This record gives sequence, C-alpha cells and structure tokens, in this order.
Amino acid sequence: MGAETSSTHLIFFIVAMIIAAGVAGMMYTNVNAVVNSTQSASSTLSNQLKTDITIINDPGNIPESSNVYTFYVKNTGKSTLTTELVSVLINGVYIDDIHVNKTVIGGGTTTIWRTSEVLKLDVTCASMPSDNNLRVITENGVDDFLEFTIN
Amino acid sequence: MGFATSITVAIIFMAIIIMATISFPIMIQSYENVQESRDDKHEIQMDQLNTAIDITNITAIGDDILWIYVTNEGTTMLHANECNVLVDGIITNYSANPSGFWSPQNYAVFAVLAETDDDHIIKITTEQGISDIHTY
Repeated sequence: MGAETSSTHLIFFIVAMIIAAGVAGMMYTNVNAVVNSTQSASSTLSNQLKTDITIINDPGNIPESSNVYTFYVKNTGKSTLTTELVSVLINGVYIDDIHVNKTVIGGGTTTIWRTSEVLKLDVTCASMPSDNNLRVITENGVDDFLEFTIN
Repeated sequence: MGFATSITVAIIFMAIIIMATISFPIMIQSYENVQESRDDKHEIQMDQLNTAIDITNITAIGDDILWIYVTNEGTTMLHANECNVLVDGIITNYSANPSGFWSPQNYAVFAVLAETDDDHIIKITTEQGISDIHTY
C-alpha cells in the first residue's frame, strides 16, 4: 500500500469519526430535549391532577358591601396553591388583580393556600346584573364555576 | 466491514447506550410522578363521591346561638374541624362536637353565633367540598 492510499484511508477514517461524533451529538441534543420536555410536562400534569378547588358560596346569598362582593373558594385537592396566581372571571370578563383582594381564612400567610383552607376573594365590581357566573382559575389551569344571583 | 466503519458503528452504539442510560431513570421518574398524581386524583374523586351530609335539625340556644345537627350520610370519615359554615352567605366561626373524626351515620353538632329571632340560611361544606343547605 503506497503513501497515497494510506493518506486517503486516514482522511476517510478521520471524516468518518467526525461524522459519527456529529451524529451522536445531534442525537444526544434531541433526546435530551425530549427528556427535559417529558419531565416538565409530567410535572405540570402531576400538579393539575392533584389540584381541585370548590366555590362554596351560597349561590343565592352572595355577601356584598359597597360594590365589593365576597366569594369563598376551598382548596379541596392535595396540592398547595399560590393565591397570587389565582385568576377571577365574572360573566366571562377577567377581573384585574387590583380589583380582587385575596385572603386565606385562618392561614398564616396570605399567599400560601393549603389543602382544606378557604380563600376569600373580595371582588370590587361597580355594576352586576341579577344573574351572573363566576369562574376561579388556579395557577395550573384547574378551575371551578358558579352561577349566582344578586338580589 | 472496514476499520473506520467498525469504529463509527461503535461510537454511535456507545452514544445510544449512554443516552438510554441517562434518559431511562428520568422517564421512569416522570411516569411514576404522573401515576402517583392519578392515584391522588382518584382518591379525591372517590372521597367526593362517597361523601354526603344532611342538616337534620337546627335548634336555637338562647338568643344568639344556633346548634346545627348534621348527619354524615356518606361512607367516608369526615373531620368536623375542616368544615365551613356559612350563615346567610357569610363564613362564620363555629365550634363542633366532635371536633375531630366524624364517622359515617353519626351526627356532629355545629354551634354558631347568630340571632335566633331572625330567619337564616345555613350552608355547611365538608373538606371535600360537598355541602348541604338548610333554612332556619
């Protein structure tokens, strides 16, 4: 085997190594991305499954004082929630956080909402028709819905 | 098969083995997390389906105390101290007897402060979110 043939074989060998390493690197990147996404998706799904809330108001007897309506939402799931990330929709309209005062009844802090605790939502709403609906949505998309009347 | 091909196949084979070794425990952990949460969800739904309460009687004690007799009509053990009492739509403090475990087919007495001369709507909600409503 001459020097030319040896050089050609060496070049082919190096190129084959580079291509193999590149393919292995790309495969690792893709597999790693899929694994990370699976981990993240399973964590989200896990939290959603463990979360459950129930609006416990008497639908015909919503407390009201100076256009502030009070709603009570109980954490009936098995996960601890964050009150800051709770969203409120009345009649399909999102109520901005500046119009919603959130307090955990009997809770040590106002932001941590544990199992069996009740979140009190004081919603300031200037005008409301007699028939309304309320939707409360938690940080992971789990929600509860209540139809209520204002006397 | 030449030497270069053999080495290339070996590199890709090793890469696949390493990736599988790293990925497998993470995938299994994710699967187990979801399975545990499915069990929790199942337990929550089972408890809700097996829970039922009935306000059987409301008695006035003096001028400002109501005793609310509530029967556990379901098949789950409830906790009276984790219930909520709404009097005329407003959450009210209460004392319960028994305050701890409240077994099926037994009643608990919830004492709340409320004017006994007036009419009231009483709603009691358990820790699972199951409720009953009654007028006084």
